[in-house]
Amino acid sequence: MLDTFDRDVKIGDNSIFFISIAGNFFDTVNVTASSDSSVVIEDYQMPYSSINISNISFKSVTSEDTFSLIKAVNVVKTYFTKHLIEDIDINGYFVLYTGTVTSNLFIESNTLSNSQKLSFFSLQGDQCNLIRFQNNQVSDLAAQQTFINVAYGAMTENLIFQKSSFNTIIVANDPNDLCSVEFMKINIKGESVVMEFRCLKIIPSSISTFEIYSAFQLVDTKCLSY
Amino acid sequence: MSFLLIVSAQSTVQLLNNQFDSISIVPQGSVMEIYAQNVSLSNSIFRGFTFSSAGGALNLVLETLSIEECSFEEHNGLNSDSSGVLKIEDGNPEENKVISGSIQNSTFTGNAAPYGTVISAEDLSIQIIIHNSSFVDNHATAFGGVFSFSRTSSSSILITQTNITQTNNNSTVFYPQYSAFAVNESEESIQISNSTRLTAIGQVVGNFIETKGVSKTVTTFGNDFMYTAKIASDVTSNAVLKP
Repeated sequence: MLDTFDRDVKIGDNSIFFISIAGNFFDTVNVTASSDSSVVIEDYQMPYSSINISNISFKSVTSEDTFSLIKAVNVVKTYFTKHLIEDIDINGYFVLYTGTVTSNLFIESNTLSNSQKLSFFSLQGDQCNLIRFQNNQVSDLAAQQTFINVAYGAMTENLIFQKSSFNTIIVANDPNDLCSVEFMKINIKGESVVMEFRCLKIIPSSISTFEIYSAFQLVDTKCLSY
Repeated sequence: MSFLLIVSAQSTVQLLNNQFDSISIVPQGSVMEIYAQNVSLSNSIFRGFTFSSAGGALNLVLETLSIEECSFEEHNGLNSDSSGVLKIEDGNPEENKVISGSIQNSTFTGNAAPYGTVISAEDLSIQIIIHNSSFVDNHATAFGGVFSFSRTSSSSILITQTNITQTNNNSTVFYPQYSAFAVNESEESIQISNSTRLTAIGQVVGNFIETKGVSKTVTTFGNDFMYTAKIASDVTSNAVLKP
């Protein structure tokens, strides 16, 4: 009984749960209709945990049906890093990510090249908090759907794309589909969440007025005292 | 040192230190569509986009736009209703907000589209500041201007320390009345000052500002503004630059 209690306390405080999928090779794979993705992670939302998916090589993967290389649904802090993707012929995404809240998602140092129909990633959900996309190298691709798709209802921290290179990419939708396609579509439907402080009282008074005004977005200053 | 620092109060979509080269959309669509409150583009290269969309190459639906240290080169809007590099829209026109844009230390070179080759804005209120930037040989291949404003209200564009150069010939300009600034049924203030230079060279030099429709107010003012129109010896059009 005591052991159980101790474990529960640790879970509630600072325990770290970690899943790592690294160093795998998918080479010369012809996917049948029985699967929609190579790697799937679903419903992993333990507090203080993170997921690392890295150093996977996808080469010569083909599929006639919709298929994604990595699929993640309702997961916590996740790193997709250092993947090598080449000679792929699938109608789908490298990363297909959906979740009510996407918090701390990092897509870094991946290389995509010489592929057909493959798009990079699709992220969708109600709210996102810090998505960072950096140091990715993408070249010589022909995609059939929006190449980078990000759609959330609200955003509370910045969405950052940096230090990446995209070269020679054609996005051509299916001839049977009349919808337009884009290389990149970012749709944050609602306004960013702004933290508001009303009737704020700050003690002690050693904090200067300047610092206070630079630190907050003051919504209702009438009842501010400090 | 602050008591509390909130960095998320105004979240932004940021593109920084990226290179986008040779990206084509077939048969139709913009290259990028961004719907967000704030968008920041910095230290990035955007080159060689081909697209067919009234939304332009970058279709931006936002409240604030910041562009710094970026280059936009050789983009082509292909079909007849394509706008140009930046198409700015108001996502919530019923709120009557003023959209703000800032372009600094950036270059726009060799882009072509039927209208709004560099910036087009419609049905909104927008204030744009352009500083220390360069616009060279951006061609409006049909009816509109390099900068195109349509049905804007309480809007302004302030251009300082910027070079605008057009080298045109009959193969690049199909509509001799093209203009650097096209204003259509708008309330627009255009201020050009502080060593901004507008140079037009070639067979067809077009107009400086063209107003169409029933524009409410179009005012231009500025100082230290230099313009030069050099009409080639084999000029075939009598269109001239009108400051």
